[in-house]
Amino acid sequence: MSLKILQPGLFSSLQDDGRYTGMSHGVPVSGAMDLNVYHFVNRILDNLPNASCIEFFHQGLEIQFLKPTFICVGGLEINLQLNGEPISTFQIINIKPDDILKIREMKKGNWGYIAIKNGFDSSEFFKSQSFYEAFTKKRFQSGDEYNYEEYDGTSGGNVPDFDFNYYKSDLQVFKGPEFSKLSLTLQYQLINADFSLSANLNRMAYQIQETLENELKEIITGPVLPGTIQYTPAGKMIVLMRDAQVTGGYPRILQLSEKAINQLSQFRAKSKVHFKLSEINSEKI
Amino acid sequence: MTNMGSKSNKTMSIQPHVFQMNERSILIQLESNIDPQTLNILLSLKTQVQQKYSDLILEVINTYNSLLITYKSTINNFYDVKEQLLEDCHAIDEAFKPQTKLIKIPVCYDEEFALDAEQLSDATGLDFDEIINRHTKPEYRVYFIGFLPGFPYLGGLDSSLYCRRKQHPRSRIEMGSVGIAGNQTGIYPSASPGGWQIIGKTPLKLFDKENSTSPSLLSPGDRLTFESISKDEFDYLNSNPKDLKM
Repeated sequence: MSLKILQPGLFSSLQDDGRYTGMSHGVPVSGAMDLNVYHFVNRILDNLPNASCIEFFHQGLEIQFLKPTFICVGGLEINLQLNGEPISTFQIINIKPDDILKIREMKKGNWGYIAIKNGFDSSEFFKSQSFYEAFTKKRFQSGDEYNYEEYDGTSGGNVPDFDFNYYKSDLQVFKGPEFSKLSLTLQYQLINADFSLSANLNRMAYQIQETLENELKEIITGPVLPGTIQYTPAGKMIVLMRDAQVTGGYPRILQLSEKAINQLSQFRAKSKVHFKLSEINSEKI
Repeated sequence: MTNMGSKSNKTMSIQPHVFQMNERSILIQLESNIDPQTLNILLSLKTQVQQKYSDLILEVINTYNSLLITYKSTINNFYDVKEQLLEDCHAIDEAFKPQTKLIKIPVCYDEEFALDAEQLSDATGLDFDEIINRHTKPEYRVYFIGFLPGFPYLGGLDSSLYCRRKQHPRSRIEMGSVGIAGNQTGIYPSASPGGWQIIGKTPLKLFDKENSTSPSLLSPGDRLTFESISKDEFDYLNSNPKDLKM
């Protein structure tokens, strides 16, 4: 074994691009909550785009490396320490045996990523190492050990600076299959009002704090995707995230673009949420 | 996918709507109810789409009245793709009957597992033996797998057994529990919170994580029956899973 979990932090797990091919077995897509940071840290190490990374939520994770390698840590604003000394995000870090990395504080965003040269070597399910309780561990626990390949060479691609402005633009949404069944008033509200994010945030779903008037009945259970916004009989809006189930019975009123899922994943409780409607080629249902 | 071809004049009994969900997913929804014929049509369309566009597609799933097609990359030419998919819809043989397997699910309806036997008797006016009778009689159809990995959405429940969900869902329902909710009956493939009325338990594994290519025991289209077993048989099969025969 080559990586040891000293302190698991909150909801830490291994994640990659996720798995679409398990959907017909009821297996969620999963994968990194913020694919943008995830892909970027892999790119810095010149890894394959789908190499598995550690995903962590806020602060607290502490890990020890037992073999030499290179890593790169990414997130919106994180204080990190290697053996007690501060280090930077989005930099290639040379790791020697017994080095200890600690996530001291996450000042902005929710999710951070630790890429390692050539990824981790953990069991795959539908060609993905992403954790999901039905077939892997749910999350890291103290004392867990994970494998990676020893790497002694040089590392790194020539990459531009990380673009923090990515997170400042509006959340792009498309009409969901049931959008056109809403009254015009509600349609207008949805795309013009400001909402706020509730504290109810996890890998399955993020909830919107405000409720809307309840207009639609449940639908015949149909397919949903990460980024689908469901509208419950109580008027709650639930944004499905990466570990969401593959089918649902609530009306699907909006669908986040792939970029907007990454953006929203980093929003904290009480953040202002504004949806910007884009036309994707669609037909009324 | 730019081959427009000529539109078929054949009329379908169900109207397909083709809707782009996001950058790389398309939803085909049929205007129809929950019925076995719609399922057959969807499964036929699913097979055709999977074979015809295997290079472009990551996954196709079906539900009661929909197919969701997820492509490997962004869809840049939606109207061409839509045209093609509509043609595929119209070319479907509506009399198509998919090849299906019949699976027998042993269920122990013993009072130890039938947590909601009383509520169900009250709601249906039937004594529990009659409920078991009517639950084990039909041949059910698996429409699709969703909610939890391996969880089958089944059609075919005797309408005299329809029963509302529990007002206060349980925080944990054990793996293998068999329940009723509304007009559906189902089996929990793993422990989960839930509001279904629980009437029994199967020792059968519905989701096998050791089987990495086909972990779900059931597939859309499959036929299924429940077979009542005693508590002794349950205990035996539970500790000797290799003796389970379907």
